[in-house]
Amino acid sequence: MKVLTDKKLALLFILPTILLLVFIVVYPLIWSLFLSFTDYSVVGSEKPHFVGIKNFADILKDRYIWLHFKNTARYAITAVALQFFLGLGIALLLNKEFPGRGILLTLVLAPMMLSPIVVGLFWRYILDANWGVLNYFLSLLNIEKIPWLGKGESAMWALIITDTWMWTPFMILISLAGLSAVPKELYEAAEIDRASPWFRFRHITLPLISPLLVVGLLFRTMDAFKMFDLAWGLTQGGPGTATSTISIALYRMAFQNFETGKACAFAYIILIIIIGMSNIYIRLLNRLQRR
Amino acid sequence: MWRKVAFMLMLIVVSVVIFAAKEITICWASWPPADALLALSEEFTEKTGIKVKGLFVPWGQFLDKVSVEFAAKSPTIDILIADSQWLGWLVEGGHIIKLNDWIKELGINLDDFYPNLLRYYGEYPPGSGNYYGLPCETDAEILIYRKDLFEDPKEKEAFKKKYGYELRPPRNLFEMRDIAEFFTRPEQNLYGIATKWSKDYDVVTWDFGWALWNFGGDFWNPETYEVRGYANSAQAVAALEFYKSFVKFAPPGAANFSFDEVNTAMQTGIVAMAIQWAAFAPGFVDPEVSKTYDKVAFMALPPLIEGDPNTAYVPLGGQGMTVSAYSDAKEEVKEFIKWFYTPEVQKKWALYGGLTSFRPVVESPEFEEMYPWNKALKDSIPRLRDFWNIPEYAKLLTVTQENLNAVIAGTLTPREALNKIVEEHEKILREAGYIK
Amino acid sequence: MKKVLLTILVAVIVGIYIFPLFWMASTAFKSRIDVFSMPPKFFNFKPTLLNFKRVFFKIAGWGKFAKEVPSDFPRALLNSAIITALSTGLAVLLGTLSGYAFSRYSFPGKADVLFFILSTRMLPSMVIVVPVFVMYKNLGLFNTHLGMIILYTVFNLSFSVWMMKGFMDEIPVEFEEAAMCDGYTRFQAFLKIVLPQALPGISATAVFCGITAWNEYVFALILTSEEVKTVPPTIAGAILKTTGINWGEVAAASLLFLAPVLIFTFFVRKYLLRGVTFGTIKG
Repeated sequence: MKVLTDKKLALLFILPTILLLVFIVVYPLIWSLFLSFTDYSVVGSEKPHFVGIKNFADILKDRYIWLHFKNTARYAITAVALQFFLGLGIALLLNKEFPGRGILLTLVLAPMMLSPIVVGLFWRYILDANWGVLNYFLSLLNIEKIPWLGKGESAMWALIITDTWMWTPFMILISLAGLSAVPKELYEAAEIDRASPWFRFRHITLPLISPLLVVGLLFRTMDAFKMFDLAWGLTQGGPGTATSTISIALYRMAFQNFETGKACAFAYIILIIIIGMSNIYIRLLNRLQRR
Repeated sequence: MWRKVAFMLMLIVVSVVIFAAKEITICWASWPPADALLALSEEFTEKTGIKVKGLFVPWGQFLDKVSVEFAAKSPTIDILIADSQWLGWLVEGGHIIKLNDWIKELGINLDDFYPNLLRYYGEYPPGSGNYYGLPCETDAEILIYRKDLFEDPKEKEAFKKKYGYELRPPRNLFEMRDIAEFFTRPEQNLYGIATKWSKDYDVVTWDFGWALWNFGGDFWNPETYEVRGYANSAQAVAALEFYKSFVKFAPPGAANFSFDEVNTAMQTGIVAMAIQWAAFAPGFVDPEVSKTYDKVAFMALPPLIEGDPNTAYVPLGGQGMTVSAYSDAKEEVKEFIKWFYTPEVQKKWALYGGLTSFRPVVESPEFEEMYPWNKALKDSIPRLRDFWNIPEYAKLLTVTQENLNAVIAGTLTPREALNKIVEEHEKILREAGYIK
Repeated sequence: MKKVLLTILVAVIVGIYIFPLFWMASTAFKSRIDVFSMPPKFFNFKPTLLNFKRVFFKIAGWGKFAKEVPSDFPRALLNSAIITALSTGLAVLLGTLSGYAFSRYSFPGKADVLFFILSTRMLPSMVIVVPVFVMYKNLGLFNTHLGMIILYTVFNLSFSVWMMKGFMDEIPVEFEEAAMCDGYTRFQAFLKIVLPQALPGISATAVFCGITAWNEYVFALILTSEEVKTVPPTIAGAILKTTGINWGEVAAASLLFLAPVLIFTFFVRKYLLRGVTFGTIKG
């Protein structure tokens, strides 16, 4: 048996990974870059014609597309902010030992592991105006039936609520991790000095956990920005375009209108934004890991 | 040596060809009529030995799937049960074959079909005598109503007092509105009417189209392709205002109502009337699924003005049977069509839950007895009307879907929505070369 | 007093979180009429297994001609199982190998390569799927198990590389070095010393990859047709605007689909933080 030298072994171990990634990620991206400058359509019978930057210009000028960016931003910011505060708050509550903590914690963290499309579909039933259980609970508080998925404004809130249910556990997890990393001695010292709980939180807890929280925030924001499954399952982007995210707009362009070339251009625009965001994420991560 | 190899190869090829040829794939939307057709096709398999496979796609992706398959000229699909609107792009794209020769060869009598249905489901261009499809599932929007409520003496008394005439199944659109208003009682969790507003596929355009035609309007002029003055005419605005007024009498969440929600509303007993496609009718009388299964009755949609056929249109639904140009089993498909369009099989088709419009069956005395919705269907057939079937219809549809749905979501007024429709339709038709 | 208040608060929160899951489970056992009853029936309904039966067998034809035929669900379940198992196996295998290499070796540009690998996971699926759709159609990989397995492997690869690198980092180098001093080759040391210690990490990574592949919707929706379709698009397709949404059936199908995920989540609860942050935060 041939003895593998170190370097060769390393190469052998890494090469298949790189090759696969190039094949499935890099090659299509390059192809799609080429297509984005054409008017190609997958269901058309013509060869692609070069149209220069027309696709990019059309998209950036399109009010419809900007509407989708607005929707996505509104949803992402609101939902992530809610998840942040709820997550931190609940983590603070759950940060002590109590019987059954293990099982309960796993149950609470379960939602974020579920398939988003299935979650979206099922919340459609919970939020149904006439037979949904949420409206029933609201009626117990004497609140009138809200047509959650029927009106644009409430549909956006329906999306935010569903997303929050699903992803607050993520922020709980991150917050708990951060909280558990705070050295107990600091708290003990603060107690000796008779510092108030608020003081402890503001000057000990918060500074120590904030790097992790910020990383979690950015992670959630990037995820929310990309989101498709949940909105599609819950409302399919409706009513009208009230809950249409940019991924939904891209889907419509590419697979309902079959404007393949234009969709590639749109995909690139989204790509550039995401790369920017993930750059920040990686940088923050490095700073965190170096501490 | 080589001869042996060649012989083996030939044997393999022949057996593959035999196996490959003896199977037909029917492509349709994934819904109960498709399952029914497949079940019925087992009788065809018993008779001829040709197997039938179903490629059923959810409605939301049906058109996309077929577009992609045909763009690739794939032989997967043999028979396509296609929406009538698809006729234009199917024919002009060369995706389906002309059936005139087969009709002659198989001895299919065109008098066995209603002329308006032949035109909608198969003739392209209209009036040319070229048939590319035959009616398969003939669907019409019908009115489902709670006969127990209508026959209740207390209700009848209260209605007569309030409106001055007898409570009865509505004879025109205004009576329908009165009845809807009468039965809208949120405190009792009862509402007047459930109808569709969803911007999915073609849902709201159809239901609005019904009102539009009955008010004497139209989406366009089918000869000159003019849109301005048609889709935003005074009649159109009136029709949209009228259709919008129904929302007051609908259960909460109506803006999103599509097929399911209307079905559920009637099945759980919270509405007095519902406008729905006859294809869904079986679900209303199924005790496993409907609380009101023994309380519902069916009728054809009332006209705007009684006795005036120009205000009595009914939306045409359903799909026609077409044959893919790329099919590799055309002989087998011919067998299937020969078998399918006979009175015995068409009668079975109806019994299995399909909607037939084959004249010998529809005009037979037992048709109305077969199922409670058959009379409504039969009454609707002469009044059926279809909208665009030019290849660009999908784009036109997207425009109407969104703008009409916006009216109910409250973001556009009827007049604004119709004006927007005119603008965008003109753009589409101009780009496609229909108008200057 | 404060303790009681806190306990109540915790109970409420946990309740809010578990309620939708409980609701879905109970809906799965309700008849259609009960599913649509107002006020909703929490416990006072007669449970039925009909929904589960309908998930696997649907009714074709009407009235006297109604017969039971298999639905699309069993095939979708099989597809999900095959694609998930094979793509996970491949992703974990390659991830373990690459993770080890990245952990033990340094070379110029290593950080960049790692960043590149991580960034592939940051891309929205919809962005990747548009060119991959065109590519797969041209290569004949559209609607094939192979195509989906390759795609899911790559999709999970960046994740498994980062996870395994993290786990490998935690295995002290000394053992391998000792073994190599004793005459083992690097490869043998890897097999005999490192892998056994990495087993918990490998299992956790496999579970996360498996769950991701199992849950995936976008690629499955667009790159498969009826033969290869997995469960998520099948469930979605069954209710997105066709006839008669029976929430009971949807709940039953969803329950069957989510149950393995819930079970496996419990098994990897120690590694949840690491898993959901793509191996970048170890906590």
